[in-house]
Amino acid sequence: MQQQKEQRSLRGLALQKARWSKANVRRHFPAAWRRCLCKPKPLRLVYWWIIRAFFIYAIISTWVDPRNKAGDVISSQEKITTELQLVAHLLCCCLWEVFQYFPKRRTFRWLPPYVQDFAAAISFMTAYGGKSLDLYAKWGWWDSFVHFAAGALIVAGGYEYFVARERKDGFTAPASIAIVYGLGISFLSGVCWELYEFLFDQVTGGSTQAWVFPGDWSKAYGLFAQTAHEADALRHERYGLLDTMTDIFMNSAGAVLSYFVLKIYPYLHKGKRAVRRAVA
Amino acid sequence: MTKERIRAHVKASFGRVFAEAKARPLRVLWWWIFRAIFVYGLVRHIKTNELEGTGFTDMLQIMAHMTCCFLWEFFQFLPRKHIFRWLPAYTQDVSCVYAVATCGGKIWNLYFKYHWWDSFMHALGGLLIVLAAYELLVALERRDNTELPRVVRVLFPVGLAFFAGTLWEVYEFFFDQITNGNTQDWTFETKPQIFGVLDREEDLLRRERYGLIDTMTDIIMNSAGAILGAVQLRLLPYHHRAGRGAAHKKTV
Repeated sequence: MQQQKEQRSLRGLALQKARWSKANVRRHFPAAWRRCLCKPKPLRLVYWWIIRAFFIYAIISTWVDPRNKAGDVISSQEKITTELQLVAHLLCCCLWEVFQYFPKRRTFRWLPPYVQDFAAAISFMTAYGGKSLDLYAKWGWWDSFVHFAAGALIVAGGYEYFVARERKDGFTAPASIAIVYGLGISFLSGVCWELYEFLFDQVTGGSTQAWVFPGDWSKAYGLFAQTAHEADALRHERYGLLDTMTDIFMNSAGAVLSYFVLKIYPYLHKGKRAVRRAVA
Repeated sequence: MTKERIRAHVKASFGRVFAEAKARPLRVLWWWIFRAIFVYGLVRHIKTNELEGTGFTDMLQIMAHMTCCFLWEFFQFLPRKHIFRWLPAYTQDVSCVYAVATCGGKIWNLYFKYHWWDSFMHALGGLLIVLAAYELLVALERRDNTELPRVVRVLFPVGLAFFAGTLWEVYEFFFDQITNGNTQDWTFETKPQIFGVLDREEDLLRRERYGLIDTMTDIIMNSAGAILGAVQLRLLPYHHRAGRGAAHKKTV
């Protein structure tokens, strides 16, 4: 215990020393740049740039020819929101590089590069697949699938963040705490997303929670249609609750599945990658 | 485990329970007051209601809430390696009050009498789950003789509160689907609560929208309670205050 505390204070002292000075800043940026180029494997870099290329293409094509899938010209407001969404998701695909420019005392700087593989995949599924290719409307199950995948991947992301914190601060905690931490973060994000959708609809008059019945929603709403009360299932006004509950349920299912996978194989708490080794 | 070890374990567990009763009789009296309320409620329910349909599920609800008043004693019988065994007895003081408040709301119809009751209970639930999770972390620190960083001590309980809040909504949804219940306002019996006033005018008139408004109100109140708990843990982490020493140094 005492030894662990001493180690932590030594690390804290080292991090304090590494704060900004002119010489440090001069060294910091080239070092960060080198980390961005050398740390990820070449194939990983190629994968990231393929996804980024898709986003750049979508941004340019929306700007040059702002039409929806039906071929109608979209309004300028819709064009701007679509562009903003695509740019925000493109930034999500560059987060790891951004983190490398953070000072050493920031936990995000300690995240491994493969975390961005999953962030890029989620961004690609939601923004490019869902919005640009219009998969939400084409395939009713796409929204549920994205929620499921996001719920599962955020658990892994939370687990990675916890372990990065362990490495940075030089402490170790049981794997179960790290996994439950990831599970909590996943549920927190899922609920925050639904709250955002609700408030967005209230403020801007949008319909992200299916407040406005847009026509044939039988596909999107299908998941719980079989179990809904028969008389109520026909009422379009119910779609709002069914849509929200489907999202919440899929988030939860993904998170719980990921929890059990990590419980069976906590890859950062055993074997060669065990965090105890790195901290020691 | 051999027979002898099991016998010693059970004896030691009873010893801990009785030692608490001896050391703090007022606390145990407090617990038994709430247990008596539940027993009275259960007997009255059995006498006045038919035990079929909702009558039966109400009885199950009362019994489930009653078990919340015995949790600490139950945890004392767990092996030493379980974190729950390390929880302090005062956590049950709060769980008793919360169990009576939620179950009482159902039995005395408080959810319909006062429309703010449901929102209040959700906010309180969010707050209490954050504090309970903090107690769990402290129990872990004591068991493992370690000290977790502050960010974990705040974010872990908040995540757990959101986890519990979401599971509650999922449970309500499936309960309604399977038993034809109305916990999510499917049958439009109650009015929209806080967010009814923020609603768009044309939607406000549609009673069918109440289901979503009710669910979102619950989620928002849960989140508000959890955030309040997080602020409290950030400003006043009562087990980790300077001068009082770290949690792991104390013994249970």
